[in-house]
Amino acid sequence: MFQSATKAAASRAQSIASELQIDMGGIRIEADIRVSVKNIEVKDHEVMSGPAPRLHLEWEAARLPRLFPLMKADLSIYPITATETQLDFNGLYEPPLGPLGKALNAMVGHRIAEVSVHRFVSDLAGYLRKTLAR
Amino acid sequence: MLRAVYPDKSWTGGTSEHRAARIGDSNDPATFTLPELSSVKRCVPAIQGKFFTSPDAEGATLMSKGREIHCYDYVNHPYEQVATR
Repeated sequence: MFQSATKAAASRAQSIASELQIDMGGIRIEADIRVSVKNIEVKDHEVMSGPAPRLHLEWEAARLPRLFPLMKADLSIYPITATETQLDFNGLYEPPLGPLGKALNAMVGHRIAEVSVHRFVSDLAGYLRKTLAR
Repeated sequence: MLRAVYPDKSWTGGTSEHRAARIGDSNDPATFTLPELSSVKRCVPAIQGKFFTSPDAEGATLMSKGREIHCYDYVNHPYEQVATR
């Protein structure tokens, strides 16, 4: 379920990404994001006794990737109560373009990364809620 | 891993399904430290950073510090159901 939900969210993230528009000081910036699942591992999680699935993800801008951050992330799930499950995304991104990229990152890159992550995790949770409610 | 608990639902102003998104002021990144989050439910492994809720308002809660982005949400379904079904 988690893996199929992640794939669905990744697919949806790409469709959403095509609509991803961010206003920065009146300037509209668009970025298409390509999400890929690089690896899936099941290993013990620090907050639960027993194995938990962890997905290694990567994403980058579909067009002009050198102008946008490259993100590497882990996505894991674990129980928080008997009836609730946490989705936990932890990512690290690389600003593009060296020193110039750092300045651009401060202006727009970081915001793009934040919005794309937020939408991805929200979509994943939404997909799970919808599917599990059936 | 540090964990804390929301005081009650009224603080978040929403259904439990979306509680995670209601921490903090929408659109306004604000610096936080762990002691300030001591009464907040959900796991928060970050030690210190920026706390941010997207313009989408509902959905996942996002925090970032430098180039690190941590985002989390939860569903009202047992782990076994989510992980294995």
